[in-house]
This record gives sequence, C-alpha cells and structure tokens, in this order.
Amino acid sequence: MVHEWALAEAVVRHVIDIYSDKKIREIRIGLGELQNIDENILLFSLKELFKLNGLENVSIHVRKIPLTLLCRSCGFEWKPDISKLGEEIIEMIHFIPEAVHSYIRCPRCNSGDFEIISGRGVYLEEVVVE
Amino acid sequence: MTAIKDPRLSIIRERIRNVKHVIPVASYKGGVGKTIVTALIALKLRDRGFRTGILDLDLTNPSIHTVLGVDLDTIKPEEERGVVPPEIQGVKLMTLAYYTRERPTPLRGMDLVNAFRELMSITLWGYIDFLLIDTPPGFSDVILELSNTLGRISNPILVSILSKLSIKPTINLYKYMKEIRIEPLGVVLNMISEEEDLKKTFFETASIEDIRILGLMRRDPEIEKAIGSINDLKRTKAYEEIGEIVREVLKIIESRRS
Repeated sequence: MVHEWALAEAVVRHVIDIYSDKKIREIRIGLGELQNIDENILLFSLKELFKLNGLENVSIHVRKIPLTLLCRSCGFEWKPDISKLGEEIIEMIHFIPEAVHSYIRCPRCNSGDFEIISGRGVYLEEVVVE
Repeated sequence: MTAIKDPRLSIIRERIRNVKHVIPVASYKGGVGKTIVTALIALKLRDRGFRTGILDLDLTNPSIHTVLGVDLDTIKPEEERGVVPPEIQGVKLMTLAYYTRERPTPLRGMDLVNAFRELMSITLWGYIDFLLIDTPPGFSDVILELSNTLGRISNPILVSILSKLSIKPTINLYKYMKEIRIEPLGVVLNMISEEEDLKKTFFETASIEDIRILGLMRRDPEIEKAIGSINDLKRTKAYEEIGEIVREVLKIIESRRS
C-alpha cells in the first residue's frame, strides 16, 4: 500500500478528533496538482479508514486544484507543467511537495524563492456534520 | 462547519507513539558541530544495543547523510502505508535529502512548516528507543514547530562551543526551554582546545543558572577525514568522548524514570 494511506490517516484522525461528538456526513477534499496524489488510492484509503473507525456512510468529495506559483523575487505568477519534470522528480515531489524548490525555478528571473499559492497537496476543505 | 486546522497535526504524535525518547540536538549558533554530535550519539546508542533513528530537520541544508556516507542514488525510503526510513548500519535515517538530492532548496516560512509537517506525518519509525533529531541553527520555523508539536515529550541536547558568540545564546536557549516546560538533558561543549578562561566562566555560569553540562569534546582533526565513513568515525577520539556523554544521557534518563 502506497503512502497515500498515511495522508488519509491524518485526515480521518483529524476529522474524528474534532467531530467525535457529532455525526459526520461528508468531507470535501482538495487535491493539489503538485503532489500528484492518486485520487482512487486516496479515496480507497479514506473509505477503509472511516470504516475501521465505524463510520461507513461518510461521503467523500474530491476537487482537483491546479498549481499556481508566485515568484517572491520578481512577482511573476505562473502555472508550471509538472508532467514535464520526468518520473523521478515527480516522485520526489509526490512525497514532499516542497522538494519542488529543488527542481523548478521562476521562468522570468530564475529564482527558486517562490510561493505555492495553490495546488500544493491534500487539503481538508470542509466537514459536514449533523 | 468549523475552521479546519492542518490535519497532519493530528497524526504527528501518533507517528512517534512507539519512540521511547525523542532527543532534538539544537544550538542557537551555527557551526558548532551539531550534525556530527547527533550522528555520533546515534551510532554510540546503536553500539550499546538501542534501536535508534535519526531525523534530519536541517531542511535547507541536510547533511547527516553525508556524515554517514549514504549514497542517495542507491538508498531511499520504502513506501508502505507511509514512508519507512532506510537503515544505515542499523540506524534508521530520514532526511529531506532523499527528495532534494543535494540540490539548492530555498525554503522559508510556510514552505519550511509544510516540509516539516509532511516529513513528520508520513514517516513510520516503528518501535525504536531513541530518535535523534538534527536541527537547523537558530530559533525559527523548524525549532518552533518542533517545540509546538513534540516539545514536552522531547528532551533536547544543546551544543555549544567555548566562544562568547555561543555561550550566552546557549544559556538563554536552555533557560527559555525550561520556561516553556521543555527539560533539556544538558549541554555538550564541543571543539574544545585551550580556552581555559572561557571554560571556567561557562562552568561558573552553568552552576549559577542550574545548567547541566553533559560533557566536553575536544577539537578533533580526525573527524573531518572520517566524514562519510561510519567505520572511520568510530575510530576517532571524538567517538570515545561521545561514549562518556551517552553514558551521562542514559544516567539522566534512568534517574528521571525512577
């Protein structure tokens, strides 16, 4: 089982910790493009983990979030095509998205000092409870 | 609906549930030999039969792997419901260098926090006795995150050299840790040569301020040559001296337990 399981564990643990006294109906997950998470594996992991915690009826919605970077040096904003980085580098970023700072530079000024404005990784966007 | 904090914070403690002792190695000043001290302590604990891990949190300049001679081309973590750190001669090692491959990695603010939380939430340490954490110098993002997430369940070791630039900040950091209810194991005085006056001053101040000194390590020119080879590191004078420091650490841990 791949490492998406570990990220799903964090989400499920968090939701159960915070809403232990309520009935959890649905969660909404944002999936940032940068981390290249396998949506099906993440969904499977979330469902399994909810089930293991006696919550079989939580519905899970996933929204893909495109990647946008902002150069802190020159202010340039851009949407890099991660798929062009090659499999090995994509895998590095898959584990630790901040590794992107080792492999991408601002196309305008070549700085590696940029901000990930959106599309980093796994976000818990909303929890709907009764 | 309520505000949602970062879910990763809910799992970090869980990830070190089976780690008996968390020991961050910290210093206010850079260049005092923290990384070498961290590596030697871990190797010595392993020699004594303890299950040991090292986490390199010097995120923009990870270098424990260099000290231990880890070849990043052939060694990488296994993926198994998380990330399992590889064992380097029996010591588990997790470092961002597996993913940044020694390339310049400019990180600041939220990037550092995110890298820290990601590493902490996906790394599966399993059952180990000691987790040594190499930290960046100073007192910013990573140390603050570490204090907030693991603070009170950790026992830091502070490293200082006998320099006016290092002594006072070390004492200040030690006192601050106690104020936020983190109990340091003590201070390692590193790279000692002939600074008798400074040594006397430090010992006097430490006594007044109730600061424990774990031990002294002399400046050892052999260390630089030994970097990259665990076997050579174990043949240095510094490795003998670290033995005394580890003995002291184990004694303190034992006394806190009873």
